[in-house]
Parts: sequence; C-alpha cells; structure tokens
Amino acid sequence: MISLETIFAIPILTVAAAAAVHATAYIHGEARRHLFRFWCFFIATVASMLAVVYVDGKLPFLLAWEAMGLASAGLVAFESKEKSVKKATWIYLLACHAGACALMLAGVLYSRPDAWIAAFAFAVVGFGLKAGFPPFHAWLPEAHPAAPAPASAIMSGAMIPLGFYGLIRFFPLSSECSVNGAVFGWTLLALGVIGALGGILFALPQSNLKRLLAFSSVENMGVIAMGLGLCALVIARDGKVELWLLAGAGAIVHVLNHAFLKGSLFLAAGSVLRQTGTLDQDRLGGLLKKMPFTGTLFTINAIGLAGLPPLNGFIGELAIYVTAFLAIKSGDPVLAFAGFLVAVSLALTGALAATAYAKAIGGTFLGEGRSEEAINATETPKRMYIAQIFLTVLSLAMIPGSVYLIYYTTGGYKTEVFITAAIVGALFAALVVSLLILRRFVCPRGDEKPRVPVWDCGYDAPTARMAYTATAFTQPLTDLSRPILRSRRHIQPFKGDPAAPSDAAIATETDDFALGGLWRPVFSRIARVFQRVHLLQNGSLHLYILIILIAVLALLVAALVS
Amino acid sequence: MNILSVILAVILAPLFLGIVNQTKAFFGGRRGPGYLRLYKDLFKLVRKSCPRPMPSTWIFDIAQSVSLASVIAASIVFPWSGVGIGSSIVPAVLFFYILAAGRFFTVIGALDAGNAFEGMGASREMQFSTLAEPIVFVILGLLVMLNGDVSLTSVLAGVSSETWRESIVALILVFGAFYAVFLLENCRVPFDDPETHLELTMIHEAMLLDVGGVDLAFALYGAALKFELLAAFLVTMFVPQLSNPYLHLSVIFGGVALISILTGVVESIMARVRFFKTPQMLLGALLMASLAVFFIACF
Amino acid sequence: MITLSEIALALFLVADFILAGASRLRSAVRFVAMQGLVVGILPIFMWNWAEEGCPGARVWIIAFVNAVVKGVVLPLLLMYAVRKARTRRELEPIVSFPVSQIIVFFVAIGAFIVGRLLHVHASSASELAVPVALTTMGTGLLLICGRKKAITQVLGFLILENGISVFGAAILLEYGIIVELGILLDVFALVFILGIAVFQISRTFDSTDTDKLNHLGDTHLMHPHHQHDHVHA
Repeated sequence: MISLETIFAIPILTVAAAAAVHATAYIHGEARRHLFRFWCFFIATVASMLAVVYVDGKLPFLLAWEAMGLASAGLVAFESKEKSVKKATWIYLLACHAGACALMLAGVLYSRPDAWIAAFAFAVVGFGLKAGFPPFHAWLPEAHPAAPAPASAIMSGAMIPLGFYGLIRFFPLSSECSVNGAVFGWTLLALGVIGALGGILFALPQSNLKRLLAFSSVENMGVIAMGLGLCALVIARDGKVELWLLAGAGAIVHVLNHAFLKGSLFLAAGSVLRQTGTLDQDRLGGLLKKMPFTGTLFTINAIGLAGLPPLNGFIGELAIYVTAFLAIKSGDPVLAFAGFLVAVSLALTGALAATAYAKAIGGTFLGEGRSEEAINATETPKRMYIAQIFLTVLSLAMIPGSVYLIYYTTGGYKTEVFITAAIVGALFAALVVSLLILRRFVCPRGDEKPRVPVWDCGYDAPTARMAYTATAFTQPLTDLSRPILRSRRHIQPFKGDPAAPSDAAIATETDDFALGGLWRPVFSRIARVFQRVHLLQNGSLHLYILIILIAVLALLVAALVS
Repeated sequence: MNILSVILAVILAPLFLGIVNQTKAFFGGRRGPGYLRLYKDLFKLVRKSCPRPMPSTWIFDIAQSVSLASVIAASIVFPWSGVGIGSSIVPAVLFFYILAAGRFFTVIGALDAGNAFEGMGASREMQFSTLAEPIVFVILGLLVMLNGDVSLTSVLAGVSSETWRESIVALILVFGAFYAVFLLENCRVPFDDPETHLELTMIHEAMLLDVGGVDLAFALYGAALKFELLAAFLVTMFVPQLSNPYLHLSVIFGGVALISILTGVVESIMARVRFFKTPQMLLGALLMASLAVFFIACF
Repeated sequence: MITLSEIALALFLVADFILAGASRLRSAVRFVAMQGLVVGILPIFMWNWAEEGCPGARVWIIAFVNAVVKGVVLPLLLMYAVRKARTRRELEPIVSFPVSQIIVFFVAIGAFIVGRLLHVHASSASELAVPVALTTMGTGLLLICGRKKAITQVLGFLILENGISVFGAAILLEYGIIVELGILLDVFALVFILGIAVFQISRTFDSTDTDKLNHLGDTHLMHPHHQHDHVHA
C-alpha cells in the first residue's frame, strides 16, 4: 500500500541523504567552524519535514509546519555574513510566518461548513507560500541562491512540494470532495498555468545558476498544480474515475521526479560554486572538461527536468498530457477548454524549459571557460558527485517507477501508453548506441583524435570571449517577452576617440516581478501606516505606564458597563 | 509490411530533398544537381574523417548521432502504411517530444563547439522551436477532438468525408498552420534558408559549422528524414485511412512528393523573412489553428 | 461548387490575417489583389449550378468587371502609388502588427457568432460567407484606424469594400449586384483620387505619414512643439 505520506516522505529521506553526503565536502575552509550550527539546523529541518508528513491532527501539523519554516530559515541564514543572505533570510522568514498565519486562520475556519471558501482561500495562500504559487513564490528566487547548496536541494526537492501535501491532506481529492471541486480545480489550474509559464519565463534570463533553478522550481510546481487542478475539475464535472486518477497520478509522479532531478541539479550547482567561486553562467563555461562527473550528471538531470524522453521527467508530464487530451475529447465543453489550456501551456512550458536548461548546460559546462576561475577549476571531492550519482540512479529507476506508480494509482487505465512510452524511450537509447557504434566503425578513433581549432568563419584567433554567452543564448526569447520580464539594461557606451574607443559594457538584470511589482510596494505601504503607530513606542517609560493605565481604566469601564 | 514500409521510408528520405531542389532549379532555369545528389553527398561524407573542435567534449561527439536516432525512432513508430509498429498505442505527444529531444542535442552540441556562430544558430533554433510548440499542440488537440484518442494512429486516422464537407475552412486553416510549422522545423524558406551557408541569417546550418565527416552525413540525412517524416504527418492528417496498406503507403509517398514540390515552389517565389518578423508569422499560424479549433468546437 | 466557394472564403480569411500583419506595402497590395480576384469570381462559385443551370451573360460580365477592377486595375494603381511615394513599409503602426492579428482573431470569432445569430444564410450561399465578410470589413476598418501611411489606409478601404462585396454575394439579392456596382464606382473614384493625392503629397512634403499631415490643420496651434522625427525606409 503506497500512501500519500510515503510519496512525500521518499523525497525528504533520499534528497536529505544525498544532501548530507554532499554537505560534508561542500562546507569547507572557514565555514567549517560553524559546522555544528549547520548540522543542527539540517537535522531539525529534516525531522520537522517528516513530522509535517506523519503527525496526526491539525494543531501538531501546524506546529511541525512552523518548526519546518524556522529550521530551514536557519539553513538559509548559514552564510549570514553576506548582506544578500541576510536579506534573503528576512524574506524567507516573512514568507514562512505569513504562511503559518494564513494556515491558522484556515484551521479556525476549516470546521465551519458555511465558511469553506474562506478556509480554502487561506489554505491556498498558506500552502501556496510554501509551494511557490504565483505571486507567493517571491521568496524562492531569493532564498535558494542564498542558502548553501545542500539546503537548497532539500528545500526545492522535498520541502516545496509539501505545500501540495498539505492542500490535498486537508482538502482531499476524491469523489466526495469536501470543497467545491470546480473552485478547487480552476484555482489550481489558473495558478498552475501562471506559475509554470511565468516561472520558466523568468528562469530564462537569469545568469545566476541557482536563481535559474529556483525559478524552474516555480515552473515545476506549476506543472504539478495543473495536474491536480485538472484532477479536481474532472471530479467536479463527473468525469471518469480513471481520468482524474490519471491526472492525480501524473502530478504525484512529477513530485518524485522533480525531487530527484532538482535535488541533484542543486547539488551540482553547489559543486560548481565550491570549485569556481561563482555561479554566474556568463563567467563560467567549459566545466565539463574540468569537472567531468559533475558536468555529465548535471547534463543528464537537466535533460530529465526539461521533460525530454527517454528520461523520467517526461513520464509525469505525459500523464498530464494524456488526461488533457482525453478531457478534450470527453465532449464536456468545460473540460475540453481546460484540456486545451493545459496541453498548450504544458507544451510552451516544456519548450521554454528545454531552452532554459540548454542555456544552463551550455553556459556552465560547454565551450571554453570565460574567466580564470572557470579555466582553473578542478573536479570535486568524490563524495560530492557520489551524492549526485545516488539521486541520478533514483531518477533512472523512476522511469519504470513512474509507469508503475501510474499503473498502481489508476488500476491499469491507459497503462499501455506509458509502457510504450518507456519502450520507445529505450528504443531511442538503443538507436543512439548503435549509431555511435556505427560511427566508431566508419570513423576510427585514431582518425578523430586530431583536434582542430574552432572554425569561426575565417577569423584567425578566436577567444573564449567571442563565444555566445548564456545571456546571449536566451536573448531573442527574453526580448520577445520584455513586457512581462521588464529586464533592466545597464549600457556603458563607447566613449572617446571613435578610432580607439574605450571599453563598452552591457549588463541586464531581471528581477522577480512579484517581489518588485507587488510585494515591495504593498509592504512599504504597510510600513508607512505603522510608522504612525510608532509614535506610541518612543522609548519613554512614562508614556508606557500611562498607556497601561488607560487600558486598565478602559477595561474597568467596559466591565462596569456590561 | 510495417517494417518494410519503415525501411522504404528510411531509404527514400534523401530523394524528397532532391525533388525540392529540382523544383527550385526548374523555376530558376537551371539543370539542377539531380534527384540523387544527397545520396552521393552522404556517400562521400561517410568516407571523410571527423574533425573535432578544440573546446568540444563528448556532447559534441554524440550530438549528431542522438539527433539522427531521435528522427529514426520517430519514423519507426510512425504509421507509414496505415498501421505502424506500435503506433496504435504510442501517444502522439511522444512523437513530438522525441523529435524535441533530438533537437535539444543538436543545440547543446552546437554550444559545445564554443563557436559564436554556432551559439547564434542554437539560440535561434531554440527560440523558433519554442514558438512553434504551442501551434503543434493546438493542432494535436484538434485532431484528438476529431478522431478520438491520443495514440498516433487515431490522431492520424485521417479526416472523414463528413468533416471535409462541414469544416473545410477549419481544415484549410489547420493545413496552413501546420505547413508553417513544417517549414520552420525543417529550416526552410521563409524561416531559414538551407542554402545560405556562412551568413549571419542562418539557423540550422550555423549549428553544423564545425561538424564534418560521418557526423555531417548524420546531420544531413537526419534533416532529410525529418523533412519526409513531417511531410508524411501533414499528409496523413488529411488522407483517410485506406484499407490496403500498399495503396496507403503509395498515397503517403505521393503526398510527400507533392509537399516537396510545393515547398520548392514556395522557396522559388518567396524570400526569407526578417528574423524579427518570424515570431509574428508564428503568432498568425497559432491564431489560425486556434480559429480552426473554435470552428470545429462550436459549429 | 459549394466546396470551391468555401475554399475561396477560407483563403479570404487567411488573407485577412496576413494583411493585418503585413508591413511591406507591396505584399499587402498583392494580397488585396488576390482578395479582389476572389471577390470577383465568388458569385460564379456561389451560383446554384445544379438548379439554375449556366448563369446568364449578365453574371459573367459583372464577375469579369469586378475581378478586373478589384484584382488588376486598382492594385496596379496602388503599386504605382507605392512606387512613386517611395514608401515601402509601414514602420510604426498605431496598432502593432501582432496586436492587429490578435484583434482580427477575435473579430473573426465574434463574426462567426454574429453570423450564427443573424440567420442570413437562408439563400443558397455558403454559411461561411457572412462571417468572412464581417471579418474582412473588420480588418479593413482596423487598417484604416490603426495605420499611419496613407496608402495603407487606402488599402484598408479596399479591404472594407471587398468585405461588403462578399456580404452582397452571400445574400444574393436581386439588386445586390447593381448596388455593388455603385459602391465599386465610388471606391474606384476614391482610390484613384487618393492615389493621385498620395503621390502629390509625397512629392510636396516628402512624407505620407498622416500623423504629420495633422499639422496642416488647426490642431498644430495647440502643440507648437509637437515634432515627429520618423525614419523612412
């Protein structure tokens, strides 16, 4: 019997194990002095996450939830000497507390049948703050780059999806749905579509590798939300039982696949940071030669997360696709519309994700190094990539594993589709191998050994600086979506003598829309209101005593009157 | 029969690019390189050595093989003669995702060479294929709506004569939209020009600048097979399934030949559009496909 | 023959999309010419051959005149104006090209819903004709309102006329063709005058940007410093 708890506990345990192994080498040099603090928070985070999954009752759940937020905030703050880390920690703590606050309100309203919609709204806010629903995802791209890589791996792979766990646990998806299925479905569907498309669109221009991965987490949570939303909608429209089970299975399988793949990717990003000291893809490059294991594992996992066959990321998405197409043909116009929406958004998301990961692979690992650090990089200590190998093996095992889980959940509905998908994937891999053998046969190894300089259209002395950078790679697409991204450009033009001009420079920066466009104005307005209240707290003891006195008198009067 | 038709498709692939080129030669008043030119080119390339650019790694070495393998895998599951190998269960989504996987490797292979031109080609390839993806899936959704199931065979079951009568407009719109995707995916005019080697405007050819020998043969052959495969997809979308597999196969190949001639004509009378115009053309194709969905769903 | 007319109408719709997104004036004129030819031949396609036999000479002549005037004469005139005015491209439209295409998309959807509600397809004509006609009129209006070059606006006017012709062909009124001929005469005169005007304006002012022509009116008194600095291709 595979229960929901097991599904969500597996990523916690596996990703935490890999992250722990990785962390033993990741934390090096000066930082080792704070090793005790790191492990305390690490263990507390994992324990509270397991508690979230396994405790019974609402109150213990809330306590575990809050503990999880606090413990992981400790992890985010590990390198707290840096200013950006401090800022990220504050944003993260704020998100955690706002989430817990919303969940408390939801808990209070939960048992009242007339207020289910309010309870549901608060639950979506509370869990959405963890799961990165737009616009509550603002903390993700801040906290993930700031946290040490093993912590990011756990948070992104295992902690974020717990938002979905909470949502399904308190508003279970079944034929006897406790809330209105249509409301549940459309809410999740809308949040999923916006989250998936917006997340991956903002991932494209990021030059910081971990920021890119963080936005990609928003995208993957969007994909999961689409699956769950479709599931709830099929229930609400009295669709086939197998159909909504299939959508749910797709979402659940994607939780697992995303956990293993993204966990490994964050660990690889940590390895890159440790070996080169930077995460800026425009300054990296050529690392596949210097760090062959890390780079190869990163490539495999990135292809998986781009949702390309034959790797496991594809199968969860395929389940959602199949549900969407079956919804289109179901004849119900509402379901058909939802099916079209999901299929087209998923297609666009997948294509954008492939672009984003091609950028991540290309910018970081391929070509030639664009800076001293990248050129002089060396492979990590063994245990760092062993942690990645562990997660990658789990990903590969998830290819048949996903098919089995879908079979298990739906009871064999359309399983042949997924089995053939896996078989065709294997056929694809076999063809690759046979073509490579053929190639070796036709073109003997001795023949291809002499390496030639890059042919740069007749230019004699190409340097690494001339190669396309990661930012340039995505520039056409980011230009096209400029109205959404609102990237800022800093251009330092040529100056002086046109024959021998000074250096010119261009830099682009894309901030999160939700943080800069929504939360910052909102919070600064709130701050301005509370500035006025600040008059009461001016540090003078006399005033405080006066206030207490007035309060006591007021209470006395109130008691006498009643 | 199924295996036979796949083998036939694999053998015939370079011929259709020959037809395109001969059509262009006819319009240009030239004698043309001949229908079998690509076969000779491939034979010549296979005997040459594979140079490897200095910065490249194993990704560059395997990229063209993976890319070709993806097209071959897709053509194996394609229902050439009405019923393909397993195509009655292979989801149509998988077909396009396998092709996407091959393209992904071409792109990262190009990035691996560390060449500015190849990077540029890779960047554009990703941009345009990203914009084409929604069109493909709107059309897939439409085909599922018409024909019933998600598998490749049922998606491609062909349009019944009743649908032909009732929604001819929608079908014309769909043909236009998918033909745009077809031209884009095969890097043909007006999106890309397969003959502008070494120009700033190229896309697909730019990614192959440093590829040589058997790898280049793989890339060229893969392009030919992809052309045939997507043309066959376009034809099969509209031709109803025939009971005789031999007849079906010949109808498909005849249709592919017609599409090749059409493409040759289009390339002869049209110039490549500016890059900045391409997204707008794809938007137009997307809107046409969506309009077709609207017609079929509501009328 | 119903199928032929439907194919023609579908091409019409596709041409609307292309026209909404076309920035090159020459190709836009070409597509308007194609629409004109189709509009001319449409009555013959729509003719109920099965019941009424071969159409009479009157129908043939009118179709011929229509096709020649809209498909050949007016486009040639416009081509001439394009050449003379030395404007090859619409550079900075008021409504951008992608947005125009999206507008046409929604106009088309609206037109099909309206066409459904109107029930005007009672005659032998295709069910598609009314919606396509409405969409074409919408496209024409969009080009008139959303573009700056005088020639594009003339094109918009022609497209609008094409739409009206399709509408006429759709409902197959007895006197529809005569009414249409009257409109055709109007449009012919208008295009002729505009063609000459555009040519003269461009020769005098070195630009056919209607934004700048606004300065000729009284309004420029209110914005004395309102100067545009467009780049012309």
